[in-house]
Amino acid sequence: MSNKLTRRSLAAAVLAASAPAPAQTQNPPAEELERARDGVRRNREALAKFKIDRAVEPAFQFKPL
Amino acid sequence: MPSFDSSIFFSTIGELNAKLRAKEFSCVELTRAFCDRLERLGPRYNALALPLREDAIKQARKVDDDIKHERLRSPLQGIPYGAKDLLSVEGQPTAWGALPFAGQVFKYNARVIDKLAKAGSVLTGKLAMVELAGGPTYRFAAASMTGSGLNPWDRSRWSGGSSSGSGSAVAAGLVTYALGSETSGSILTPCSFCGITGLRPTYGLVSRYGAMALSWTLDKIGPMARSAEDCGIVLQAISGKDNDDPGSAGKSYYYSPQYARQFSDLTIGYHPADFEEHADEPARPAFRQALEMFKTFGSKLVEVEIPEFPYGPVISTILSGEAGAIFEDLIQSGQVDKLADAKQIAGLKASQEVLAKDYLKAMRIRALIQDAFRTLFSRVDVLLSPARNGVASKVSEPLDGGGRGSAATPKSRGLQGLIPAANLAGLPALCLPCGFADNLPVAISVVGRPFAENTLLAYGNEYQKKTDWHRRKPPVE
Repeated sequence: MSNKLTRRSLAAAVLAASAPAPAQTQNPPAEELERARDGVRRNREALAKFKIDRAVEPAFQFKPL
Repeated sequence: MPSFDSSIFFSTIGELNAKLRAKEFSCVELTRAFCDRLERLGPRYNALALPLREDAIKQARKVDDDIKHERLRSPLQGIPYGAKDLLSVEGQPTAWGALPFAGQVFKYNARVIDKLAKAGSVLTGKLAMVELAGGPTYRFAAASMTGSGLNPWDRSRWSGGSSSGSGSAVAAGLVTYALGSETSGSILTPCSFCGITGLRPTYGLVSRYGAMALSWTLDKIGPMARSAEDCGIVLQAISGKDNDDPGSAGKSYYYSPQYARQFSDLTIGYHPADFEEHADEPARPAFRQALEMFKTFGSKLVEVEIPEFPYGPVISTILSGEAGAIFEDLIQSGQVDKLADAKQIAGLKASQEVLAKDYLKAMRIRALIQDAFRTLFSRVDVLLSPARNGVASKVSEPLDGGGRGSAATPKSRGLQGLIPAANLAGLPALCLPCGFADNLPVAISVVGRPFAENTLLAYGNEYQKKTDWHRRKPPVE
């Protein structure tokens, strides 16, 4: 299928892009960021508690090409 | 131009293709009617990211010429569809639902777009999505450049994410089927909330080439449609080996549920707690009914529990680690602040702090999860559970507010956490609408072994032969 960027589709995209982003009604970003960092720390702690045999390799393989 | 009865917009692929071949109408006429509807009603649900009328009509003309000369290509020939705006279409804006990427244009098609064009299907538009397919996480349905995905069954409710537009466009009859993608729940959730059928394929079965990467090891592209059969038809067209996708499994898929094993030879794993204590109360009658229907198929049913692993921390660490690397430039440049959802912005920034050792620990636990599911699937052939525990949330409410399950702690974990768990293990899943609660759709899911899509679809076909939940239409007009 041949797809060219038409004036119509470009206008639609620009229009969408210029629409105001929905208002942020939640906590200020600083608190939100701290919460997200806490999440990373909590995940780290949860993973650390999980005992795993040293022989277990990650669920992906390096493949020489 | 013929005036189309509204039922045409809710026809299955097979029904529409038969009418096209019988020349009841031309593909151009059908395409124009679908484009009109998509452009008129798409904005009502914030489902439309980009109309592609001009190219759709060109493709439809080719289809009409093919049909005229009896060059019959596939059941998808002439069928209008929509694609999640995470898939690149040559020369057209592909914004990934995110303001920082609003002007992005690729010079090539995603592999799945090319495959569907070859099958003769007609792309009528790009469909809206949650920004960056949800990133590490987000709090509000409004986490999209195009606004909250609104549910055709009730516009005060969310259509689900991250394939929001795909869900509402299929449900509202704006396209016959759509492509969605799932990293962890992004096909199953909108299908469940919008009352449509969806298939999350086995990881690697469908090429990710030309799709936005959120997580290289978790992303899957799959069909969202009106029936299990339609999902099978689309999956056959889009699957297959692709050297341009490093995660490609190198396998093809042929839709042939008739060759799946007899139901009487199969075992279904389930847990009653998923249909009772864990489920939101209003949804329980529908879930019970679906379970009873599956019991009539002749399969053996056994109670199972999901293997015990910290699925949340594992998937969150893998997703954050990979998304943090993929979107490093966006985050470091500060463009990330243009995203709509504060939690999404914060999650992407915090993703830069995921340590390599934690990512690798999560991937090592993931290997154990794969093993545990392999063991579980030595006892059962499929797992049956509610796709989501209840109905679509209100668009005004935060998505991390929790469900309406039993106040008491359930005695068993049942199969709770199956969405992240099965995504970590790369397993396929089929979402089947199974009734209503509070006048909103609910659905069950059937999960199987890797590459067991035909078994899932055989169950789906049987269930949909005996029920009509998948044929219900929302009050669109």
